[in-house]
Amino acid sequence: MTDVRSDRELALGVQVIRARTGKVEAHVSAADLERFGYAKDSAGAVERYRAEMEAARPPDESTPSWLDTYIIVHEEED
Amino acid sequence: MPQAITNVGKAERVDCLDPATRGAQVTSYYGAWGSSGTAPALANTTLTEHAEARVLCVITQQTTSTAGDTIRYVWTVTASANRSVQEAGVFTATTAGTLIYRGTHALLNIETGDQVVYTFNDRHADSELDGV
Repeated sequence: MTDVRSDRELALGVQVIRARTGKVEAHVSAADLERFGYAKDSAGAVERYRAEMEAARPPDESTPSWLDTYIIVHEEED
Repeated sequence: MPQAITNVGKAERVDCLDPATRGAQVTSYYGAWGSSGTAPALANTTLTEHAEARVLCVITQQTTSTAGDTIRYVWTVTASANRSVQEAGVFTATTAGTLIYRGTHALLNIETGDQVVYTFNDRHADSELDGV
């Protein structure tokens, strides 16, 4: 990951809501998963990530549940 | 997903803190998306924007480590045509303006009517304070 954040921590989240199916996709890079402590090749990394995101989700009805979200991990180097 | 607070963005942030200049700063910010996958750089001032209009950001204060240490910009853009998307940014205006944040992400193939929700979290961590 290219660190150009200097003294601040900046994070970008991307979520896609598909018009045809209504499915929600959360896109995360493998590098970010590793940065957050979820080794990409470890067993159940995505499932643990999903569970922890769900546990941390604020009680906001407008926020899609992570339990209903497809988490898509991108392997490209960033 | 690499991101940058651009050089012009840093100057805008400082203008917001400076009593002499903050009154002239905008209070609304607008999110955009684009097609360029070139990694963010501090010198960035634009995106390769798609035709969709920039969207007014919902701005909230969040707590990451200490109370109120994070400012969050969220917007949703709806595709008016099929798009290949790889970047997003926050501007000070609906057209032109100053690019505060730019980030890139994996190539997303977006179909007409799909929505993308972008979230930028800017946490003020250990700011550098230089004395003389």
